[in-house]
Amino acid sequence: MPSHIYSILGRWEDSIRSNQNAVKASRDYAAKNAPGTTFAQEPHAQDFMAYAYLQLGQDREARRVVGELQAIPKFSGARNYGRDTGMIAPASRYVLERAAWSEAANLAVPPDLYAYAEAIPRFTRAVGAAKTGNPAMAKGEIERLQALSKSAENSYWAEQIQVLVLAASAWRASAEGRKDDALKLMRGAADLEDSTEKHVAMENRLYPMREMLGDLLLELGQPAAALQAYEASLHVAQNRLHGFYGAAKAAQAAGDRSKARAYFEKLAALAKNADTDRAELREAKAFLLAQR
Amino acid sequence: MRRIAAGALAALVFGSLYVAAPGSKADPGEQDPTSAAGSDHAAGKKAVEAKDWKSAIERLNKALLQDDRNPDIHNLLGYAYRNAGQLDSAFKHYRRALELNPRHRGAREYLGEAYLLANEVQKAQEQLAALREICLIPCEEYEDLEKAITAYSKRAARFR
Repeated sequence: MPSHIYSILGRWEDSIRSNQNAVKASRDYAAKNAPGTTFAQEPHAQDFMAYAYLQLGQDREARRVVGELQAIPKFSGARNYGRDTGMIAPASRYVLERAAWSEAANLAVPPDLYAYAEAIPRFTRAVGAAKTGNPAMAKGEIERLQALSKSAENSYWAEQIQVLVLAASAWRASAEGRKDDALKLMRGAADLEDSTEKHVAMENRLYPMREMLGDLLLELGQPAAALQAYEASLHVAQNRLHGFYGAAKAAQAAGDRSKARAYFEKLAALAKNADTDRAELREAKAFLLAQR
Repeated sequence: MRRIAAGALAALVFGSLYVAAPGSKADPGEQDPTSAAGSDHAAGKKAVEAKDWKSAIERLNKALLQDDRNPDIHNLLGYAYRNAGQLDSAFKHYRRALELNPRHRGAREYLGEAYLLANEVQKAQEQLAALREICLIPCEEYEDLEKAITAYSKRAARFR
């Protein structure tokens, strides 16, 4: 599947095109071999596509993909990790990438999933809860994540869920005013994620934890350190819309206007065909207009 | 970000439609990992749960022939050997599990417990310290090893 390479390189239009072809091939295959079903490989391609749309600020397209996945009545082909994560991740990505925390806290958790697939909405709910001032709810979701890590199919997925446990615990600690704990936990999440290999089913990690560390540092008033985290994250998770935004904001707060401009320009170029009115796009336009 | 060579499982069922990305851990077409499709690994795991150490050792060694870079299999095999009283083999497989994944919490705990059986409490403490670093927040493996070290120390004090 060439879109893995496109994703790694942040070539989102290519990724979308490639995954549209993959979805078409999946549908042709299902129509021929098991009419009325969705081939089990399709959600994986849809997930890649949703991720790419979100990086381009094409939120309506991403929402359409989420809707299509939620409307699948029946699968054909063997169940696999990529099917479950592909079916589940886009809805979480849709709220996380847009920082829609209230939607995140209320995200549904479908039943009967592989451990990491269930961990995805649990993590999203935990972050949403912490960000909307409900650390008690976050605590419950973190406990469920811990249980999922314990019961995961193997140590690889157990460890990937631990990444989510640490990051969710960081946001909970931040919501409870435990700033030092929050930073320690988020650094732990980012370091652990960076030290582990990717699974093909989640080539696009749910959310780059180093970028999330940048978000936390920025919130805690450490823009220089935040900028460092965003730049380190962009090095491995290239061409990410929120990565550019975070780096621009951190540079701006750190007094580096030329760097802020460079990142806002990258953001504006990336989102030139956006179909949404995200606050970060408005902010980028306003900043660049003011610079003229 | 570290990536490793291709995992053992290929896209078997839908191979004509799907080609695994090189350099990836496994394939999204990987079959149900909970069953591991009646594999020796799954059978070995069941034998461990049934405390049938002999069968567990046999099946897990077969599983290693198919996937000798799987830390979970090495860890489980170490556990089976330990319970079968073959401590040297247990150490060998726990250490191999940790070579493959130094953050493997189960292997850290079990290796620490094996050190206690060999009366090497200092080495068990080293595994506990490693677990403290790995877990960051309370984890069962740390708590279990800590309890085992405490119990060992109490027993040792009685014999002094």
